Amino acid sequence: MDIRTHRSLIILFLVSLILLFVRVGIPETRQILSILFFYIALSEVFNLFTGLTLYVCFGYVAFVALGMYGGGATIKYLLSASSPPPLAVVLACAFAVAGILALILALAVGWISVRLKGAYFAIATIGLNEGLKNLIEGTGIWGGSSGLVIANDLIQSYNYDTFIFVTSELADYLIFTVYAVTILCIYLVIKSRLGYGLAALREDEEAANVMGVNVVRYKLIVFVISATLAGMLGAGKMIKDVAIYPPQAFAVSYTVEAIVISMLGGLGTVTGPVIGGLIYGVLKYVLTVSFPGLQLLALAPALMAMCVMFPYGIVGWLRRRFKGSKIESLLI
Amino acid sequence: MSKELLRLENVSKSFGGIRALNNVNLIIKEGEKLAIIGPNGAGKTTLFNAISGVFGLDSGRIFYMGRDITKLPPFKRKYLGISRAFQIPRPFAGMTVLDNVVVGALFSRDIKDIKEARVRAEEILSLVGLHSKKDELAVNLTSPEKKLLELARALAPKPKLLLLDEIVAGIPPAEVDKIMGLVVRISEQENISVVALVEHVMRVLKYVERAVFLHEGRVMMDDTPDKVLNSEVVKDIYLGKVYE
Ligand SMILES: Nc1ncnc2c1ncn2[C@@H]1O[C@H](COP(=O)(O)OP(=O)(O)OP(=O)(O)O)[C@@H](O)[C@H]1O
Ligand SMILES: [Mg+2]
Repeated sequence: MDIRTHRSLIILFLVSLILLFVRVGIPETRQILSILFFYIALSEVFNLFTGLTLYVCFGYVAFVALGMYGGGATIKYLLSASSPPPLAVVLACAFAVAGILALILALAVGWISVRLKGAYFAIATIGLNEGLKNLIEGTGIWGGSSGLVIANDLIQSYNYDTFIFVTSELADYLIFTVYAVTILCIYLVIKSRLGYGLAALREDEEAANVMGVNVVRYKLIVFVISATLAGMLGAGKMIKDVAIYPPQAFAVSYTVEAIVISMLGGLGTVTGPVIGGLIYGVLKYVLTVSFPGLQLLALAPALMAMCVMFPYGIVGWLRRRFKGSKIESLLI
Repeated sequence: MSKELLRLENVSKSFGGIRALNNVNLIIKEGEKLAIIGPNGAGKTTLFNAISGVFGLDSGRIFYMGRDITKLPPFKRKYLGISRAFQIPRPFAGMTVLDNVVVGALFSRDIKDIKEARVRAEEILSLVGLHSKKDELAVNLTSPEKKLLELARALAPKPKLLLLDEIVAGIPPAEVDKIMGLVVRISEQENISVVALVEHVMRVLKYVERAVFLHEGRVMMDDTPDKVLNSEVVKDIYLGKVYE
């Protein structure tokens, strides 16, 4: 990894910010862009771990769901007091609790599973979603199978206008903030000693170990950071959705979309998920409009074709195409 | 007499029915240059795997600077100054040549930040003659260049003990002198102990002061290169191949 200037990160951030505000300027795009942003954010979070280590984790649904539950339960609890605290305090606590819960879960799961190599790690993380779902439904905590809804709590504690603002505006900005923190994390990691260690272990774990890289610790560090951010993203999603029900919360499908987006854009790159997300979003939209009801059927071959065309992701392809030029240095 | 750096005590390691290392005892002194010779499958690479900690031993102990390192994972041993070049080069293929060497330098006790590691990496790349390729991806190097990259990565961290596994195998004779001369020069400058594994001691004869002959996992001889080379045991086992 050559020295890349901070400029490219700033440009990416500004482009993202523009996308965020297009949503405000052109009301028709609001819904699509805000959903897309959640996916881009999730795929950056995914990329922070999988992109940098090439270890696939299927447990992101669990981290996001845990963040949704933790954040939602915190909001519910704080708003049940006779005089509810200010909104900012409530939201900050929701994010903190969501992050901490995901962090604890990631430490517990990661402590053991990062010692496993390759596919074994992926398999070990598959059970995470089902385990957590069964725990919630079985014990009945956090509303059990009937779900956790915080809409009324928010409306009663504040007022309807605030509720609308929080769920349709603020939530997007909060998700954007998690996204911004995530790309900053990836960037800082890539440029650090940790990044060199990860780049080495991604290529050859045993050789990296012999060359001084504490492979287990390095994997654990990025796994925990990534899971914590996933939990916080969950808090943002909870504030946006104001409800969570186990069947949807633990549907693996939406994390698969995050995986697709980061692979399409380019694993281990900061710009990949943004480019991949936009293309995926547009593709899905176009297919839904042109083949209503059959969009998923059409999406599969379209994605397959793109994977064949861009085996290193679109960013990987662009980097090769524009090797040595300014464009390459922008594609962090 | 210089100080003891590494000591292997009754080290054994088997794979299935094969005793790759059979009660090996070996002492390496600070600044010493030593070749370990032995035919194919003698257990040479296994010995390096044991010293660098790639796997656990069946029995025996390893001491480094007086400290028992038998149970230490590889990355900790690297920090203590044990550096290794693999027999079959294992470059980080998708990284540049420079970054490969930076990794070697960065994860060590003496070099603490990336900037310092880069300076050191560039310096070592110039020494081994790979500097012009520093921005190439390691995957694009030729086989002899990959060997040089292995050497550069191993030298970069300023090790105390340099383990070179067949570093001159497949290198044209004219180049061998260059590489071994370089190894000797740097190791003398930086007081590095060098252990070179070679199938035939002839190739590195003039650069080492001691030769150990390993056969079927056992140390059969441990003496000056001349004596080892001319011993009956070695002649018998190689069936004269050494003189080819
Ligand atoms: N990881 C392993 N698993 C199984 N067997 C192994 C392993 N490593 C080494 N061996 C066996 O141990 C014996 C010693 O092998 P080793 O690689 O140490 O020999 P060597 O002296 O380095 O030979 P060469 O000249 O071929 O490099 C061989 O019989 C080899 O097949
Ligand atoms: Mg060998």
